[in-house]
Amino acid sequence: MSSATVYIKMEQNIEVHERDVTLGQLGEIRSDDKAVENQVKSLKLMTVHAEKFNRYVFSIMDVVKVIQGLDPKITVTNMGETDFIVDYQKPKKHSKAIDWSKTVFVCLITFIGSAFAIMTFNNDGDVSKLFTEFYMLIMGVESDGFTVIEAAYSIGLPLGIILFFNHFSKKAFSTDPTPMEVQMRIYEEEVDKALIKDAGRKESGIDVH
Amino acid sequence: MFIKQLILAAVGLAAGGIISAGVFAFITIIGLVPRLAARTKTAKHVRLYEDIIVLGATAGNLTFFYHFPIFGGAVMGVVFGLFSGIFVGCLIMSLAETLDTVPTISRRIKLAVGLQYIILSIGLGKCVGSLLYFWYGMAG
Repeated sequence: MSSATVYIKMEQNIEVHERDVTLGQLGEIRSDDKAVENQVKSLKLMTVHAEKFNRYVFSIMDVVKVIQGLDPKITVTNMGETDFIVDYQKPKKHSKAIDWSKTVFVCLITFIGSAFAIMTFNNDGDVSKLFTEFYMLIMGVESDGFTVIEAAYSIGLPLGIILFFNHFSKKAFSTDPTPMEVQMRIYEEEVDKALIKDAGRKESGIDVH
Repeated sequence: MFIKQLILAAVGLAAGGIISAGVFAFITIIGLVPRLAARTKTAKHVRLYEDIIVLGATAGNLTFFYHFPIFGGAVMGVVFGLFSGIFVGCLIMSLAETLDTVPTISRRIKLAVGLQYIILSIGLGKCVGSLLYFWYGMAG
């Protein structure tokens, strides 16, 4: 029996590959009593019965219950999320070909999509006409549509996007995450939040120990 | 004369920079690429997708102004049509989602069942609309 204090810090979304999910896998666990810390770390939160993959939503209360099952005198202090998602992915052999074909698929959508987007914008805004008129205004002669202004526009365009995205290829201008990476995290966080709100706590196919 | 050319170049460069940053900031904030990356579990390649956007926009813009001949004939047509279709479809739904269209309407009419059929209807509606648009030459 020990009256140690256990500090827990869970992440919102934890990916696991083993069927037996222990507390140690899920987040940071600290205690002044090292023996208790190790015991708590090896406590089993659940066993996955699902075949391929599944997501399970837990409350920190489930964790408290498991720890107090070990020793009711332990004080649990939560420093992290109050609800979290355990994302079970079957340890699968990664097929490089399938992974890359997916990436190529998204690349095709983004490549053709951005080409399409800028062409529709140019068309909508009637940029060609605007440039010919502007050329007339400055130079006083008729433009043939292949002038320095179109060329400069075509150079400015990628520069603008590169500046916005803050990098091209491996060459980054600052250590900030790129806008797309920020959006990616925001999106993942929203999905996690939705999953947690969705969960009726009574999942099928799991045992809460 | 040289000064005037310089003015034109400066205007072109600035216009290109601002417009592209604007157009692609829109696409980024709408969250289209993050959704595609999440769905295909390729989030680690997000930077590659950004590079591809730069290349795609540049290529599209050059084709727009300089009318490059593109090889591949009908096959290329199908590829371009299909993927720009996927892109616009995703863009429209991302836009609708960002603006909370579906949640708002389903709440307004107290929708209880069949959300998936509404989503399906949106997809089919877009398909029919697109076909009608091209079939009857509504582009004007």
